[in-house]
Amino acid sequence: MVQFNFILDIKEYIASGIIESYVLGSLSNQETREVECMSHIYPEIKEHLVQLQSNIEEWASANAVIPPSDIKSKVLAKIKSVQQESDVKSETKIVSINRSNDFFKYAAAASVFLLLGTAYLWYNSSNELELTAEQLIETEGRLDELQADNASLLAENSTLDTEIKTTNRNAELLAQANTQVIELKGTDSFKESLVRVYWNQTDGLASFVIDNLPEPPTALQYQLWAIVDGTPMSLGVFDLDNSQFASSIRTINEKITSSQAFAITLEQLGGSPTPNLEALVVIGEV
Amino acid sequence: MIQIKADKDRINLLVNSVKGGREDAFAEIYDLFSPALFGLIRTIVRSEDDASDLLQDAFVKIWKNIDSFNVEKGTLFTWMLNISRNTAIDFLRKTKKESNSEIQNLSNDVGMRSDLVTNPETIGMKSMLLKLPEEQRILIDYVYFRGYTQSEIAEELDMPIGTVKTRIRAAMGELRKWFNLILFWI
Repeated sequence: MVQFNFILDIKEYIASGIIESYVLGSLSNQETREVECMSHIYPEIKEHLVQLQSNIEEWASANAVIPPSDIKSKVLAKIKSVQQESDVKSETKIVSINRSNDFFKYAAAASVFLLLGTAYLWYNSSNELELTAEQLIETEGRLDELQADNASLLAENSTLDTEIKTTNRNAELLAQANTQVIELKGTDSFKESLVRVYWNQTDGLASFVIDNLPEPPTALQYQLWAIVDGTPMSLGVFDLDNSQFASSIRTINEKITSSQAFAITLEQLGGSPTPNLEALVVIGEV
Repeated sequence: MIQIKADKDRINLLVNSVKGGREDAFAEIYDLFSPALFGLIRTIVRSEDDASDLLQDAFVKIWKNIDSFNVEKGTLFTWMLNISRNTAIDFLRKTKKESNSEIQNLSNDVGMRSDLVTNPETIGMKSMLLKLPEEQRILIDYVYFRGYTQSEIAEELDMPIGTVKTRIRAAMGELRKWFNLILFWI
């Protein structure tokens, strides 16, 4: 088993001019993240980047021109009506989502780049280690693995983005003063079951949280209902989501302007236009 | 040349205050950095009026997005320069679509020298020289500012002409990289 030391040739990386391109803003999003990553890991690369930025700052200072005197007060007036945008992270505390995958993203990305960089440099240099055919094949194998890891991390990342958007919407809902919580308690056959509905009567938005529901029988599916003026209105079918990253707050797509109660029944797959009242799972009055 | 006379600690303090919504701290940031940002925007868009408007836009963006700045990513100055640069370039792209006449663009240069960008004074040549190693800097000084030929320098400094040539080439290489970066950047 051959041991690899992945050494990035820092001089070559710097000489390639990629850091200059970063400063010029001409890199793709991925390349931009790569340079930031490298700068984080390798002090020499960070130093080169800092040097370039410092050169530009010096130029800017040398090129400075005092602006017209009325601009300052205009700016100060304008900022009074502009809200500072705060970091989203500090607001989404309702449902905690595992966000520590940032590190893994960086590590995976960095290792792919390191590997690519090393493989490229090894192909081209005559002074470095002599690669045997066997080592080359192993390198390519590891590259495939890392690319697969990277791809799956990227997929997870986009799932998380969706999660966060949903959470933000739900957090808004929960934070509003006129949101009620309706507890849907289990019927006799489902004594342990509990679902909570969050409903804002003013704008009609609603969401629900599954505190406890058993796996439905194979041929059946859960369906949510609002009882409006004595008539059941379907809010759609849903499944239990067992994925690790699922937000436990589900959005209800229909607008609900009035309701006396909410209920969940077990229906055939795909749902039913009217509820099967003998398969009532949970119900709660407003 | 207007030096930004504030040390890192002061700037960090100001940044935290601005993040907390303090307008007085923001006013101080304006005083410190607006000339550099204005000069940059003006150089890019080549119009005093547009530059004034865009400077305001840039500062409003800085105020609005201050929370997304953190010291780990780099200096406040660089962050603000980038915001200013992007604001100016976006403006150029938008107005370029609307105006097709090259001549019309040139006529906006009222009061601005067309060689503003390539003027070594403006580009801060002198400050760049300070970054060269001493041996290169001396030679550039002779060649560029005093007009000596390479053989005159070799004689004056009692150096082999080969060495003079090599060092000047190296110095030019450094300067060219730097000039190119700035010229591409603005």
